[in-house]
Amino acid sequence: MLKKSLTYLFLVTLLVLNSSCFDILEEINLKKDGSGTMLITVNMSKSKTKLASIMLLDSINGYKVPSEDDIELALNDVMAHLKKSKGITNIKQTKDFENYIFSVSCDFESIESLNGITAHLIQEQNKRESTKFETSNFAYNATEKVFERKFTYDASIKKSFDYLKKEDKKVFQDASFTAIYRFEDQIEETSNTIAKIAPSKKAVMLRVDAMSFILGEKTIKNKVKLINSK
Amino acid sequence: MKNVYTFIFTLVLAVAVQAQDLAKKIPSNANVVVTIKGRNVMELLSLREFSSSRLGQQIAKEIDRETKGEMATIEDLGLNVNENFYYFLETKEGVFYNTFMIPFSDTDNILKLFPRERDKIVEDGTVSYVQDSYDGIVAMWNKTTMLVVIPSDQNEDYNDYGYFDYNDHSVPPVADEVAVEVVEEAVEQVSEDAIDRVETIEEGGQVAAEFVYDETTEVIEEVIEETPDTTYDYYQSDAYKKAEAEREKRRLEREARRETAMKALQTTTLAYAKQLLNGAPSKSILQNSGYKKSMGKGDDEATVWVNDFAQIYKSALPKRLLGPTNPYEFLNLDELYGGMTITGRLNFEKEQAVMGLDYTMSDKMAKAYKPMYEGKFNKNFLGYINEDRLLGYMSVNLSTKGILEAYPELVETMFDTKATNTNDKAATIAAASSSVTRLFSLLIDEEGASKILRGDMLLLLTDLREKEVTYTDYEYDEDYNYKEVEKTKTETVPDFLFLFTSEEEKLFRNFMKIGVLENKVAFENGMYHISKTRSTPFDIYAMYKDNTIFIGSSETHLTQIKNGTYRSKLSGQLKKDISKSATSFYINGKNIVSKIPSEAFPRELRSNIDFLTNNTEDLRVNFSKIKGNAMTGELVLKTPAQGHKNSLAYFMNLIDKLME
Repeated sequence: MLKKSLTYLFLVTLLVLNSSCFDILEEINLKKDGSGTMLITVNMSKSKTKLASIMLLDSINGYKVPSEDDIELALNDVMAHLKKSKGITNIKQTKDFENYIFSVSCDFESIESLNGITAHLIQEQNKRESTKFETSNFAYNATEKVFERKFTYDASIKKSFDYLKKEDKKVFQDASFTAIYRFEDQIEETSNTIAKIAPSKKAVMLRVDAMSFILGEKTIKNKVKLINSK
Repeated sequence: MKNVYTFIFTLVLAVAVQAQDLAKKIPSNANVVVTIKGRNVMELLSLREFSSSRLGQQIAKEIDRETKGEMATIEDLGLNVNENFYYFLETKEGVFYNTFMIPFSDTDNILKLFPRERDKIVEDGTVSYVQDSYDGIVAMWNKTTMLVVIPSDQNEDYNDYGYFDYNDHSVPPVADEVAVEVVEEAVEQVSEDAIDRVETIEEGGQVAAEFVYDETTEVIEEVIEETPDTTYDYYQSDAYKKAEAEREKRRLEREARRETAMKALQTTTLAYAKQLLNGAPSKSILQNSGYKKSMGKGDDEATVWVNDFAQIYKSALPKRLLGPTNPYEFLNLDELYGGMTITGRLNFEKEQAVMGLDYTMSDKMAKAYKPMYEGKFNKNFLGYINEDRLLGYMSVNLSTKGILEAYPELVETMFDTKATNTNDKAATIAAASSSVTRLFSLLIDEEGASKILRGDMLLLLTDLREKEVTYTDYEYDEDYNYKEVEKTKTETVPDFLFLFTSEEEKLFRNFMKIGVLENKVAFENGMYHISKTRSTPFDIYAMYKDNTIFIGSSETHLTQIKNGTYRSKLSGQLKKDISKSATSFYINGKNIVSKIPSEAFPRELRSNIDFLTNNTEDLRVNFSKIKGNAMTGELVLKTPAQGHKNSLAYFMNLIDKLME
């Protein structure tokens, strides 16, 4: 009881004092034939003090705090979903509850297989919330040598954000999304001006802060034209 | 000249006599009275000052909107702000009458407050009124006073939405016997589940009714779809039409009952308001000694007086809840709340706002509670506080022995309903609780327990300090392949110290020894160190010294206490608060605001940090030990001496700043 009260007091103070933020990393290594590997990493280690504190509470800002078991269960759901997806193999996951870093990786046969993972989920979302998100996230034209990261901004993103409580909005202040796409061929050009082409010209990195993304100021949409080396 | 003076004196006297306080209209048996003393408030902040504040302007804008431009300022309302404003609650035959009494210099402008056509204003002799036809609320006024009476009938035996109407277990006569059974089972199950839920949602009658109806119907539909005989349509059947007609009949009856009850409530509320406005009760609240005592010197800006909790509890319980299933049947409310009154006073002084609280209980309850609060205070505690760095504290000064001795008696009193109740179950619970508490008393060694934890404890939030923490980031090569790297950043963490008196050094050391043997605790430099874990994200240090157990997050702080080198500093006021109060709570606003890093403030407040630093002072909350049969509490919020003419003006300025 005593320990609980002390811990609670300490936690609440920590929660007030320390910021929370997270980074999402999307990586794709694309082969010439359109197959490849994908890795999604959620890195919340910058907020680990706060998260460790939050995890000890039952709820915060009116939301139930998920336990480690809940997170494991959610990751297992993702794994099960991937296993059911056509053309997706070699599925792996890593979880680090010390640093709050979680990742899921898989091999895909084609870009269509990759799109297949989320197509149904996006369709459902569009139907439920009347949004107009594209149901495929990626495209690859092997002949034209063009890889595309699709995205259409929908006003519902900002609307959902506005609906959040002030305290919850703070979570997104320092969050970011980073996309790294690697290719076997060299990159000729990219459509997104924020994207940086690697010195080796075989990779491109695009980093967008969460607030710019939410407000529609910056986009993760990108078209990468590769040099046709044959 | 003399005549002029005589005339002025007579005039002032006449005005003084005319301007009688509205309190005389409050009946002496009112359960709750709230007073806002206009004159006292106006001495601190004039109506003009309030009107020119942002809040005042906001209200004026609202008035302008509501009256469609007929009135533009607060002054236009015609309030007599120098008189007292009242709210009181009176319970009469199970009806709660919530009455607001508002003094006016002139009520001519009131009509403009009701611009809507549906607000039908009735003129009746010297009074005018508007009454809501749905809930009976009355706004009534004469030349100088306006009353708003909000009735709440606790006797309602009708229910607004009649969910029981749909709790009809009649089974549609479908051809297939199996289907009938399935339907019966399903309907029963759903209805039972739903009724359970309905019973928990007292207020949400309509939602619940729809829920029962929809869910039952849905299951029937589903089951019928599975039935091989597809030609049968229950909704066209005679049975359905008959059930529907009965439901409609019940609905109309219910509507009629509601209508009659509401009409009766409207009539009584209107009569109640008229009686109040036109006359005065034979015995007013001014003749109630408890109320008079609660008014004190009369220099407060607002007071709240709550009389006889037991009566309020009883009146608040709807009659339909009374009976064998009423949980309150098992509690002795008279004993628990009889004679309990609470008085709250709000006083805005020059450099502080004070909220006082007096809590009076029956002699029996006072006798039971008193030993709990008779704790001895460990004066050594005062040597471990440094007010210069202190962010806040909470001290508890109770008696473990007193609590353990009083607790069984209190539980027994709580369930001792045998004298007032004929309910067998209540008698059984009373006998069982008495046996359990007796057993508890016999098994517990109160004296021994108090050696482990005497009952005086102090929790200090001693400091905020910067601490380096690591996190994982990435470094990329020329192909944007990355490797994880560990980086560091600074976080602000609070330091705390918790101390309590205990004579059981051996027990403490044995507990720690187990921790050491289990490698959970380390014994370093004469103190125990519990390293942070996933479940406790901070290091904890503990030690025993001078009959006191210390648990804290700062090694330095504990080392200094151990070596006797800790420098304490504490004002006389806080020394008195901690040592004399049963419970004391303190927040050093200035220290906290100045030490919190600016990033931790919400973005919208960051530009106002300087204002907050200069204008945040201490908050003290203290609860006394029981004296006689009363306990007093006090909340004191210090306000800055500079920049604000008094503490009320300070709040207005603060609101103005935050509204910017």
